[in-house]
Order: sequence, then C-alpha cells, then structure tokens
Amino acid sequence: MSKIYRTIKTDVLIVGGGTAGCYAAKVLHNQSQLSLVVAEKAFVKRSGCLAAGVNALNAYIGPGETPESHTAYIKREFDDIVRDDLVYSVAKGLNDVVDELANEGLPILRNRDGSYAMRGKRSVKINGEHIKPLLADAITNKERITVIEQLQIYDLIKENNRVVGAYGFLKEENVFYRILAKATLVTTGGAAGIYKPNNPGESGHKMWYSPFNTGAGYAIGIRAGAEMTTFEMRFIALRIKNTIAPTGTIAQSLNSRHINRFGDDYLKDYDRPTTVERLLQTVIENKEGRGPCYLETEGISEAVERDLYKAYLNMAPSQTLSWIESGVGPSKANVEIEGTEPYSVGGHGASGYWVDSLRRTTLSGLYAAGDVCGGSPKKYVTGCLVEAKIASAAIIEDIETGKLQGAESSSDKWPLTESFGDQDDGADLMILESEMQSIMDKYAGGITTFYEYTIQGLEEAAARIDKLLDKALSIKVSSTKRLGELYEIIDRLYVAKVIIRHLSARKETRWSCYQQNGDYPAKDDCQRHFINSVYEPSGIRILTRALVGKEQTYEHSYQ
Amino acid sequence: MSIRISKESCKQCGLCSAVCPGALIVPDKEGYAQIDEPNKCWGCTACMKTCPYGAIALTLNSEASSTKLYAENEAETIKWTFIESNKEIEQITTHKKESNKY
Repeated sequence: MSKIYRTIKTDVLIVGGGTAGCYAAKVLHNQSQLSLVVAEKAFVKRSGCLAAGVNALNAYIGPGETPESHTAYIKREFDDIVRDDLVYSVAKGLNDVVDELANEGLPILRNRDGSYAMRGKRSVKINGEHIKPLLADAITNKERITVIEQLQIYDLIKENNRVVGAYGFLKEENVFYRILAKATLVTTGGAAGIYKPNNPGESGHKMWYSPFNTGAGYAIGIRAGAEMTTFEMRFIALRIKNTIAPTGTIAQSLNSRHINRFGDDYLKDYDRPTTVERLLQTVIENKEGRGPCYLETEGISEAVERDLYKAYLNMAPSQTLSWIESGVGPSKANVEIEGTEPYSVGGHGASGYWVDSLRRTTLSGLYAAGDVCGGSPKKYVTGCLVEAKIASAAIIEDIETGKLQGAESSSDKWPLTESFGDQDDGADLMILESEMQSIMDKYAGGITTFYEYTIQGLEEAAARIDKLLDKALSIKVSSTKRLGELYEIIDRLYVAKVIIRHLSARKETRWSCYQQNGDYPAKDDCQRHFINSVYEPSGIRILTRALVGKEQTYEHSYQ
Repeated sequence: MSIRISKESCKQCGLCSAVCPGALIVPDKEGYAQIDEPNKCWGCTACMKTCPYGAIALTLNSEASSTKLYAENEAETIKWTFIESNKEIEQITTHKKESNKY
C-alpha cells in the first residue's frame, strides 16, 4: 500500500486532546497569537478519562482549607514523597478553574447561599456527564488551532538535544506526519493495561482508567531520554467489583462503612485513613480470609437508591445497568469492592516526567501537564487544568523571549518504518498484550501477589519484558491501524521496563500496595527522596533527587 | 461488556464513529456502523448518547438475554431505558442541568 508523508509546521504541538490538552489549547489560544496543533489519537469530543463523565471535582480548596493545608494533606497522603512546589502551585490555581467551569455552564451543586455544596473538604459535586464536550468545544473551529484526530504520535523529533516536534501516523489511512514545532507539550494520559486487569478476556477493558491511555506520552519521553520520576508509585484504585466503577460517590457521600464478610467495620481502628490505607486494609481482609469486602449500603432509602442510579449513569453507566439487570440495588445488597490492577498515572499517583516548577521537562522544548507530569499526585481533573495553564504560560514565555527557535535543519528523516511495510506477518497482538500483562502481574507486584514484589521476581520480569520488547520490535505490519495497535504495546513495554527498574531501586516499602517491596517490608527514612531515571542506549540509569520545598523554584541544570 | 449496534436502526450518519474515545467504531462494507473489536469497548456510552436513532445499546455481557441499556439524548434530559427480552423493565431520566447529589 502506498504511503503518504506530510510535514507541517506550528508554534506549539500539543500531544493528546484530553482534559489537559484541550484546556492548554484554549489557554494558549486566548493568551497568545501562537499557532497550535492538537494531535489526538481518537476524537477530542469524548476522548481521555472524562469520556463517560465524572460526578465530582475532587481537587478544590473548600471553606476552612488553604493551598497550604491542601499541600500538607497531599504530603501526608504520600508519605512526603511529593514535589511540594508543584503540589502547592496546583493548589493555588484550583478554585479559579472550578469557577471558570461553572461560568461555562458546568452544573455544580450549590448551597442556599450560592456557595458550592462540598463533599468532604476537597470535592464539589457536579453533573459532569458533559464535561469533556465542554472542554473540547472551546478549541473547535478556532482559526489558529488545528486539531488532527486519529493521529497517533510515536516519537519525538530531536535536534541538537532539543525537542522540535513529533512523528505520528493516522490510524485509518497510511498517512505519516512530521510535525515541527517550537514547543511540544505532552498532555496524554498515563498508562493502563500494563498489568493483568481485574476482568481479563471479553471484558478486558472494563477498567477504572481509560484503556485507551496506553502510555504513549510517557514512552515518547522515555525513548528520547527525558528524566522520569516516581514510576515505582503505581496507582491502585478501590472500585466496585466487576464493573470497576468508582466508590467515592457512596463511601464519601453516604459515609458507608467498609465491612468484611462478618460485617465488621475494618477501618474502625484508623483515625483518618489515607487512600492507601483504605486499599491496604481491604487487601488484608481478603488475604486473611475475611473477604469479600463491601461498602455498607443495605437499608438506604429508595429515594437515595434512585439518586445513586442517576449519579452512576452520569459517570459509569455500566454500574446502574448492573444493579437494574440483577434486580438487586444497593438498598437491598451491600456493594462489593476490590482493588484494581496497578496503573501509572500522574493525576492520582506521582509517576511521570520530572519537571521544573513551570512544567518544563529535562529536554529543552518539551513540556508536560496532567497525567503524564510527575511529582504532583491527587491533582485530578482540576489539577490537570491548572497544570495546563502553568505549562502554557511557560511555553508563551519561552517562545516570546526567543529561547525556542524550532527545527533548524530540513532533514527529511522518517524513522520507525522498519515495522511498517508491504508485508504483515500476522502476529497476534492480543497475545503479546496478555503476555506482558501476565509477566507484570506475576513478577512485578500485580493483583495475584496482593501487589507485593521481590527483587528476584523483578529480575525475572525484566528479562521477560526485554525479550517481549525485542519480539514486538521485530513484528511487521502493513497498515497504520495495525501499526497503532503494535505501538500501543511497544509503548507499554517501555513503561513496564521503567516501572521495574524503579520498583527495584526503592529498597524499602514507602506506600503499601502502590510500592510494596517484599524484601524490604519496612519504611526507611534514609530513602526520603525521589527515584528518577533516564533511558540511555546502555540501559536505564537511576538517579536520586532531593525533596523540593513548597516556596522553592526548581530549575533543571541542563548539562 | 460492550455496545451492540442494530443494523436495522442504523442510518449510516457516522456520528457514533466520530465520538468513540477509542476510535473503535468504523463503517462496515455497506456503510453501517460497526464495532470491530467489542472486547476493547470501555462502556462509556458516548456513542449511545450521540446516536439520534436509538441504534446503540450497552450490555454487560455478550449473551443474547442480557439487559440492554439505551439512551435518548434530548435538549434538557437524557432518558435511559433498560430493556430485557424486548420488554422495558426500567426507565430513568437524568437532567443535564441538575448536579449529582452525592
């Protein structure tokens, strides 16, 4: 089949048209005259984490709270290993973006005096069924914004150690793109599907995180040699069994107790359990034979049950369908919960690019915001928006001050195409994917081992993942659709390699489940630092970095 | 879990293809919408809410008997209908301007 090659030039390339990407495009469009290209793997209207909707904005500074107290809370949740400067800068911007969303028509539940009704100290309740179309509409039909849909980015373009754009291809046609840009902002999702999921097979994509977030944003940076941080902190969600729907709507709003099969409240001995502790204790109940575990909902009124049906339809419709199909709603049966497989996601955990205070990565010309940006966990939807704003300001400044000149040479290189040609060897990519997931599950702390790993197991995982990556890189495909599927696996294998190295480098257990080292089960305060990595031709180099203060401005020392 | 597209109801408008967050819906040879890999569906129902013809349903498993969820997207509301063996067993209306209470 004939191939078509296209080169386009722009000021700013945004990789990923999800939450952070759409908002960054909006901010850059409103605050500068720069030309923008948004590269989106699917379609911006519903792509990314917000496809089905969301019920609450979980990062908001409620009454009595401050950006300082919010930062302290997140530090406590993650046992100190967060970038205080990043977390604090997110905290300071949260309420502005919530107000902005409200002004644009996002329904937020309010008290009689007009203030937002809070769910706990940090969440506002919304009707978020339509939140992604709201974000996407803001960048549609704008003169200086070119949105290219079904474009999969597979590598960054590097010139003299600077990033000057990216390569991609269209999914349904054999069209290859080279996008040259002064600045490239990565705003893709993190990585799902690296570990064996709760429901393999037919319902393999019945998962918490978007299954279409396959780590491309991480992988392009890893391959280009960007410094990455905290990949040993996987994120594991506590979710409703089978549907993997969120539990916060029930646990936080109804204050439902977490009970085991004997009806005992298994969190009663915790004063204020952290997110990790709630998961850990659920895992312990199961491990010690007191499972299954439930959120206690039996006896709630029919009216409340009805409202829950609606709440889930606006966020995770399969859960309401499950209740209706079984004929047993939450008023009649407690809701069974379980931990998910591990994900890598900087919006909840801290794994991602190592950035300076303004979200510049260690590669000149490359910026990160949202789920791919590391060091700032629990930023959620609103935090991703704030980060997009911060990164956009840095991009405008760096372009306007002439720091970024874009590509100089007019070299006509088109890498990759080794995998792509006239021959397709018919390799079964689904088998490759499940092999990867099984290796990670068994040897790198998946569901099967209750998230615990050992150094010996990691060595096995590393060897097997390397072999699988060699195999994947030798596969030949003859359509860009297949190439896209192949790259979704190759990207995750690179991320898997980095996860394994990080897990082995943290010789302690800092966060149970998220990072539980069976050989070093205790916390070691000599390891109160970040574990970072750089992918080099000779292998992955691990470095440690000191914690950064809240008021500190962190800058990279480019070498 | 996946969506099911009824060929009888599909009018080949293409709206569902242009909204799937996984770009999983493509036209078949005759131009009818088709999900080529149902096991990759996330169950977000973006396509269902976009389809003006009620041609798309969500089911939790691939058995013929499983309950089908449909959505009718109106200006102010979304009407969700649950169908079991061609019989409506439940209907729930969500209002777009009304926030979640929980």
